[in-house]
Amino acid sequence: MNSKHPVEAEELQAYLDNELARARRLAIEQHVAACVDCRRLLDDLRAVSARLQAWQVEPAPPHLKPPAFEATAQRVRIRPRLTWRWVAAFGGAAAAVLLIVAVSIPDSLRSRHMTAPPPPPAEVGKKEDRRAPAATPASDMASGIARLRRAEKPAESKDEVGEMNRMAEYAAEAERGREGSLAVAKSAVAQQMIAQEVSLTLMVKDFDKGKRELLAAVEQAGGYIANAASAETPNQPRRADFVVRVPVPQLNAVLEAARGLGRVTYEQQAGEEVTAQYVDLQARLKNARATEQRLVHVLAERTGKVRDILEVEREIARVRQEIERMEAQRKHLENRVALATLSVALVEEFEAKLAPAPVGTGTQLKNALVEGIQNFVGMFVGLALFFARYGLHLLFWGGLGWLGGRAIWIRLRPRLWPAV
Amino acid sequence: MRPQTDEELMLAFKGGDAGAYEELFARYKNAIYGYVRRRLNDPGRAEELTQDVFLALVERRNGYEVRAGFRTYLYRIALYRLASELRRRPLAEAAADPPEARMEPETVVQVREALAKLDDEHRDVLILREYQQLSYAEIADVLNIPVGTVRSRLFRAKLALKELLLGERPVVPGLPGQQAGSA
Repeated sequence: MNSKHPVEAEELQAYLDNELARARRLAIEQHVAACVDCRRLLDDLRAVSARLQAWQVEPAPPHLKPPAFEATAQRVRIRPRLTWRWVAAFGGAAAAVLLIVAVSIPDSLRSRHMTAPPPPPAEVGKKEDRRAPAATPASDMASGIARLRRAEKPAESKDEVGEMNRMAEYAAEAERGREGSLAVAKSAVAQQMIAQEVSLTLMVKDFDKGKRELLAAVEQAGGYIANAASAETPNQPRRADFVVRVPVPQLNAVLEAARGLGRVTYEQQAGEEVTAQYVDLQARLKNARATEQRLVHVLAERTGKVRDILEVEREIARVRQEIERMEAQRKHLENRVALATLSVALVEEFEAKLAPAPVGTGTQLKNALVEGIQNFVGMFVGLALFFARYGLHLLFWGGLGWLGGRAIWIRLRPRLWPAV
Repeated sequence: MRPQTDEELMLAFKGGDAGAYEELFARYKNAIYGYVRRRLNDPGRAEELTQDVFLALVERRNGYEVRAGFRTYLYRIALYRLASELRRRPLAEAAADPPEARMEPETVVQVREALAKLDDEHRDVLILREYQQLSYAEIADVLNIPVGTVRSRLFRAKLALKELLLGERPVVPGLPGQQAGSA
């Protein structure tokens, strides 16, 4: 803006777009009427707008419908575009599967040869399902957890490779089916997983000392008390029941300590093999994770309708719930394998004691007298309460009955005794 | 009965009125489709992105507040979706000639190519004003810039297009020279 052009050039465009206040519009109109340059610029701007209007696009296609926001059973467009990424992903998946099979088969064969036969069952106990190794070396007793963590590592490292490989792995696994992934997982878990449970009943002379020493042994072994209950009844031996969880490597030490507390009257050891259960769980977990990844990918690349998106999100939530449930099961299994369950019943050796002295005769008489007075007073109180509660009823119904009976008596008496 | 404003419809939709939502879609489907269609040059993808914009509207309906104009709200969503799409998609691919380009008149091709030469900030303002007919205040709201910036960007874009389309460098009165908005 200057003395020759009292309007800014930009204002001419705003004038064309009707974006100026009325006073400013009038000022520009006056100036343009007198200024050839500004009039020419205004014409140029109009001409550009006119040229721009040459490019008109077609209206939205009639089949374009609003994305519905209510959920339906239709699915989003799952079929991805076949690009080089997908081709590479499938290729990568096939290579990964070959690699896993090549690595895992020799491992599983080797582990089968090296696995020692299970030790013979223990002699004590009435029932014995499967005796766990009695004195397992500590290195071996790093137990299922460490072994399984090692076994899982290949899968986790694959996860870290990236989205593409995960998708490729899933695609390949889907083709192989669940059985295939089960086989891979089985080969990864070379060692048996055994959940050990021991039950022990001990007869102890010094009950309190026995309890203290048992709990100290558990604490020293790094275990914990899962449940404790004790009962004390007069003229009965005291009894305490404990359920403790101790690390498998320390189980034998705790058992030895417990046996030393007194006389063992019952012992049972059982080992439940959960290897197959664990392997199956791992395979299902892996498949569920792959499914989740795929759904997340589908959601990220979504091009479908709202209902389809909602359907995918619901499916993701369901799969996530399933994964968390299986994770919990897996942790539970690992916990059962890593910590043995030891149920100990401590029973005191019963010593009969003299019964307390009986109550004196005078006291008995006094007690009888007090009881008699209480009963006597109680009878009158009970009667008073009865009449207070039901007196009106009795009067009403009794009066009614008496009147009815009297009327009947008056009618019948002449017939029954006419001579009277 | 008085036709409901966009804002009233949006509030009704926020309250769960499916009819209001369909009405809004009917009012704006062509506008949004045209907007993304001009930026993408791909009818199929423009169609999908239009659905995406309304999908986002559904998802964000609870976040809508009455003080925001519905039109600017919707265009802001479209702008973000477009930006996201263009980030994922190479610009060259997006700006490539559409299949029907061979059938287009020369003037249309010239306009499309001239717009492609503008930088984003000038092109956005120009398209929102010239084709979508948004006011300066609305454009400022959509792009989150001052109204004065909208005015200057639009003016510069027009000057650049004048040179690109008409082959003449425009003379701006009172200015010794001017910066064109061409990229």
